[in-house]
Amino acid sequence: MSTANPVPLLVRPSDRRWIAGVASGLAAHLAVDVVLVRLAFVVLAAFGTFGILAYAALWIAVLPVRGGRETTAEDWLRRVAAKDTVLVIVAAVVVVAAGHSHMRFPLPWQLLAAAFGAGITWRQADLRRREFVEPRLWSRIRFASGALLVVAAAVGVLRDAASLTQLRAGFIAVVVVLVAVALVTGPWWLRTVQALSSERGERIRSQERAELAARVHDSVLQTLTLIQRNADDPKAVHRYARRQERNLRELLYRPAAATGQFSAAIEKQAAEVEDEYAVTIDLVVVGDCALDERTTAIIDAAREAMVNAAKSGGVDEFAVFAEIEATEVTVFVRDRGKGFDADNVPASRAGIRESIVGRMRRVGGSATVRTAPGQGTEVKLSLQRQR
Amino acid sequence: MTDERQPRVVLVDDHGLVRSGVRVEISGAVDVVGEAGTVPEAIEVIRRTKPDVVLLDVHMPGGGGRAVLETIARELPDVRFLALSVSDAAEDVIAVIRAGARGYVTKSISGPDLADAVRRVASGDAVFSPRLAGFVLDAFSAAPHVVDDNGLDALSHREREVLRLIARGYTYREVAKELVLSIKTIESHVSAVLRKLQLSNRHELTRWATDRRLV
Repeated sequence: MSTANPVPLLVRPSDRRWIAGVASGLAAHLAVDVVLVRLAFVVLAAFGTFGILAYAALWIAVLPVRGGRETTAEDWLRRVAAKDTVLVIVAAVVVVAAGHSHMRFPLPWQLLAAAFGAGITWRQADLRRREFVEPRLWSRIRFASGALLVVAAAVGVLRDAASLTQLRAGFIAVVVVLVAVALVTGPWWLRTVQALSSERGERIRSQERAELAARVHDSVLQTLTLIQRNADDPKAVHRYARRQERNLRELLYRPAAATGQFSAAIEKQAAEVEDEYAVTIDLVVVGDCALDERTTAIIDAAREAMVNAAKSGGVDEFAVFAEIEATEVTVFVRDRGKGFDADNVPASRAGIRESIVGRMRRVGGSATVRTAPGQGTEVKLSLQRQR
Repeated sequence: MTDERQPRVVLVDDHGLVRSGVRVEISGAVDVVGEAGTVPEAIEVIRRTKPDVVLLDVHMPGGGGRAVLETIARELPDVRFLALSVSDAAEDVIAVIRAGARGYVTKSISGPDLADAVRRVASGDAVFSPRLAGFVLDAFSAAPHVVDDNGLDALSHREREVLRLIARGYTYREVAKELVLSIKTIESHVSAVLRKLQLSNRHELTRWATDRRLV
C-alpha cells in the first residue's frame, strides 16, 4: 500500500511499532530514519509534556493499518490488558480507598496511575476502529476501570494541591466549562456519530456482498466440476447447468422465497420437473396468493401436465403461465411438441389426463386439453377462488 | 417486412463471448455493423454507425443499457433499441423499457427468433417475450385502476388478452390466429402496451418494481 505511492500516506503500521506505530508511520511519511523520530519524541517528552501530547494526538488522528505479524509492545500490552482487567479494577479500588483513608501516594505514582488508566480507555477506542471484536460487557468493564483510575488519580492530585473549598469552586467551574464545550461541539459529535453508523452500515453491506460472492463462486465451481465429469452426457450437463442457473437467479433476483405462496410452490414443481427430465420450463407467474387445499390441487395438476409435456411432448423447452386474479386461478402448460389425437388416446396417456382432469374436478375446477398431432399440446387448468 | 435490406445492428454487451455468440447466430439475417463492450464505447459506435437496431445488454458496468439509452435515445430517434439480457430482475427490465427500449428478450432466445425480433424492432414494432408480458400484466393489475384522462394507466381488455397469450408462449402469429385478428392488429396492440408502459406515470409501476426487489 505505502510502497505504491512516492510519498507514503501517514498511517500507523501495526507491524513496525513499539507503542502505536506513530513514530514508524511518521518516519515512513517523512522519509526519515525511525530512530531519529523516536529520539525526537523521547527528548520532547523529557523536556515537558509536548512530546507525549504530540504522540497522543497523532495516535488519535492517524488511522492504523494492518500488516505482517504483530509481536510488538502493544500486542503484549493488549494480551496483558485483556487478562488483567481484574487487576486494573483492583488498582482503581486501591487508589480510591487510599484517597478515603487519607493515605498519600507520591505524585509520580498518581501520574503513572492516571496515564495507565488513560492508556486503557484510549486503546479501547483505537481497537474499535480496527474492528477488533470483543464482548461488549468486557470492553465496558475495562473502559470503566480505566476511567476510574484516571478519576481517582485526579482526585488524589487535587486533594494534595488544594483545600476542600477551593476544590468545590474548581469543580463547579469545570462543570460549567464542560457544559459549554458540549453545547458548542454538540453538532460535530452528532455528525461524527452519524458518519460512524453509516460507515458501519456500509461495512455490513459489503460483508453481505462478499458472503454472497463466496456462496455463488462455491456453487458455480461445484457445477463446473460436475459438468466436466459428465461432459459426454448432454442430458446431465443440461440438468446441472439449468439447476445452477436457477440457483443463481433465485439468489440474485428473487425476493426471499415466499413459502406457502402459490408462486413459490409452482416454481418448486417446475424446478423438480426440469431436474428430473432435463428440460427447460419458461415459467411466468402473474400475481400470487396463499396456498390452500384447492390451490395445492391445481399445482399438483400443473405438475402432471408439466411431466406430461416433458415426457411425451418430444421437446426440451416449454412454457408455463400461471395467473392469479381476484376471482380465478389459471394455469397454462404449453409445448410445441408432437401433440396427439385427442379422440384416439393411448391408455397410458388417458391415465395421466384423468389425474389432471379428475383432480381439478374434485376441487371444483376444470381442465381442458387442446392438442392435435403435430400441433403441440396446451393444458388449461382453472379454478374459481372462493370469495 | 419492410424492404429486403438487412437491418444494420450494433451489439452492446460487456462480455465478448456473448457478443461473438450472438454475432454468429444472427449474422446471416442481419448486418452487424459494430460492437461495443462499455457504455462510452457504445455511445461512440452508435453515433458513428447510426444503426437500425441496437441489441443492448441491460447489465453493464457504468450504468448499463439504461445509461446508453438515456444518453442517446433522444439524440438519435431513428435508432431503435432491443434489450437483450439474462436478468430476471423486473425493475431493471421495466427501467430499460421506460428509458426507451422497444422490447426485451432473454439471451436464451434462439438465433432465428432473435433475428426475427430484430427485424420486428427495426420496422418499428415492439417485442415482448413471455417474461416481459408477465411483468407487464403483473404491473398493471397490481391495484384497482383509476383511469386518468389520457388512458395510459390501464390496459384494455384486448391488450390484456394479447399479453396473456404472449405470456403463455404464443408467437404473434399464433396470437393472431387465436384471437381471429391480423398480425398487424396484434402488433399495434403490443405497441400500444409499450407506449403505456413508457408513458404511464402510474405510481404502481414504480412501486411494484421496488416491491419485487424487497428482501
